[in-house]
Amino acid sequence: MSAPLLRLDRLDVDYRTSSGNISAVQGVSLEVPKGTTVGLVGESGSGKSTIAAAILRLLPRNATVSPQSIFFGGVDLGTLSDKELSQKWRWREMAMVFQRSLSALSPVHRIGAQLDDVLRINEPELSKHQRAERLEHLLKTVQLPERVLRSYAFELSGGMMQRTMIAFGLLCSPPFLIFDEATTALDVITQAQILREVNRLQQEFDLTAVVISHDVGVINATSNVVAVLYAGQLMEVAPRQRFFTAPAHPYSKALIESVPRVSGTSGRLTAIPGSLPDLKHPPPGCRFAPRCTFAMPECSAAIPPLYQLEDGHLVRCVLYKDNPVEAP
Amino acid sequence: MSDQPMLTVTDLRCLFPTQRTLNDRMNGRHPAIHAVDGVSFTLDRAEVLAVVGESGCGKSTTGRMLVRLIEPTGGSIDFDGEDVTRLSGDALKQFRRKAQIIAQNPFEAFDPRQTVQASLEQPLRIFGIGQPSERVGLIEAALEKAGLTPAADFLPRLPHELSGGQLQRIATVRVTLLEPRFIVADEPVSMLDVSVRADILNHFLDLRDETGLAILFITHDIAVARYVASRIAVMYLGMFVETGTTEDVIDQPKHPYTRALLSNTLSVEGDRAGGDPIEIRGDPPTPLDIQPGCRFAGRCPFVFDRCRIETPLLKPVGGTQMVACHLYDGDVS
Repeated sequence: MSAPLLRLDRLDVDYRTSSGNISAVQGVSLEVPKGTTVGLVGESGSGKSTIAAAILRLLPRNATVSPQSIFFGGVDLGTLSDKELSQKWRWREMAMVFQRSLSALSPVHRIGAQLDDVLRINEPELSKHQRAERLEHLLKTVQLPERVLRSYAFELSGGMMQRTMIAFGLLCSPPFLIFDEATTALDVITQAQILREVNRLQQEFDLTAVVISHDVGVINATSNVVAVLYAGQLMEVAPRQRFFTAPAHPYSKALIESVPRVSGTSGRLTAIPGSLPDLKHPPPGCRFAPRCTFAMPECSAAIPPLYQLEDGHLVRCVLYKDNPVEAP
Repeated sequence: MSDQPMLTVTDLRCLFPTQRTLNDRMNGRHPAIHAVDGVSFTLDRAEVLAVVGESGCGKSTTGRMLVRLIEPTGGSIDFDGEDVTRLSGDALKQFRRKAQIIAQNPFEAFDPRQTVQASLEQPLRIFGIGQPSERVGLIEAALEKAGLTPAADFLPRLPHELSGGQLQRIATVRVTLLEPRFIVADEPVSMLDVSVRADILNHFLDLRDETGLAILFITHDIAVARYVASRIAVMYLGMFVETGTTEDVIDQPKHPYTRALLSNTLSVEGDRAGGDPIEIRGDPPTPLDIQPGCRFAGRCPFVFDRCRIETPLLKPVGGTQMVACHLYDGDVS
């Protein structure tokens, strides 16, 4: 395996609020090797988008990120100034495809003008003509008609809008992209179209990517490695096929079980009882313990370490304590 | 009780007129969006019919017409022997108690400044259910029954303090307080996390079993329909293109569109089994200015000449299924 392009090392993110600290991300360590796609899956409130925003330094002011926790191509991103990060890294080295594209785009500017703006600021050396050429080429890449450049956001269908968001991500040809719930609001057929598109682009541009979704089906369709996040803790990391055939963590199992399928037995779906814990007062130890059917006193005594089941398959659960400890 | 189904919908139509251009005026044309174009079905007590289709296919418009939130431009809705489209005044109000709707986005379905208690008291007050002093008790009992315990904790809360799953449960409670006989559930789980969906879907099934509630379940996800519905109607651009029992439609899909929907549903199997999905290109066309022929023809991988000339009609194709597709002509058994 090649060296990781992105490495998270015991990443903590806390939000300070008037009513106390919210521990949104707690001790997440994760490697994204060059050329792979890691799928980050979890419920809303699990900290997936917070991690993405922490990497790109897009967090609100009341958030604090633990030092020496985010490394990109060997560089500790925490040591960069805001100016350096925005001039040299964001858009050029790493970009994000946002969810809710309608609110991510300006309603009063044409798509072409918005794309051109980003390009002009990030690559001021390009002439007007070169920028126009780049945009034209970009639209072809994401299979959009040229008229999109002259359109306003509200004139586009959901699928076209999502392709536009992907075009934004690819604008300055970054080697690394984060897709944050890029297909969540789409219909089944449009979703399949966009996911095929994402896979094609990953291969064509040799992209390294993190795909964020609450839907394990989306992760299955796009990722090589699955990372399960629950209430800010990383619960399981496994190669895709291994994850879907032999999930280890009780939460991962429940997550896969709760997905409606079109084949196999029907009958009632298994729900995960309860809801996410209050992250102002997170439960001690394993944060899933209060909802877990296998919970025992040990679970709440201390945060379980990540146990290694086999190469690349890590799980944070005391059920697997006979296996070697890989990381805290 | 007669053998008549509780709800019979016949040739329901909804046209939204669009602005006429000078050209339209000179040629005497009245352009319109054919949102729903001749939909017929029946629904019985304790039955769940799923209407499945992409956004813009007219499934929400159909649901809204059934509870008279949109006035149909044609067709009839027969509920317990009464034509719903003709109701007005007090009769309409009484109908509204019997037929309710649950919206897709629970965050937008509540007044952000009203507590849960205030939101739930309103329907009771409007329909004069219970004495004012009894109402809190009724609400608490209903919340507890829906698994929102302890109910007293939820009463003073505001919508933003609750999760999507909790809010959608409360929306269901608000509707069921009126003891309706029929509800339209318009994408009730599509805004929710996968892990919470199962819970809400099971809740609908409980309601069906306990109170004989009939549900028109609108969804874009045929996999979700499989778990709640006994029958499925697949809708495309204002028309049903395939109907039948859930089992038949899912196990032996006939219409190319149904097959595409099924094969594009994401799998959670490790081996990505099931072969390559049927690839559908392009966006769904708008239901404006409908051309003759099959509406799916422009995106259909099996299209042939006749599809562009003649509009296929729903015809039985054996078993419980009806399909509107020229591929199955002469296949009547």
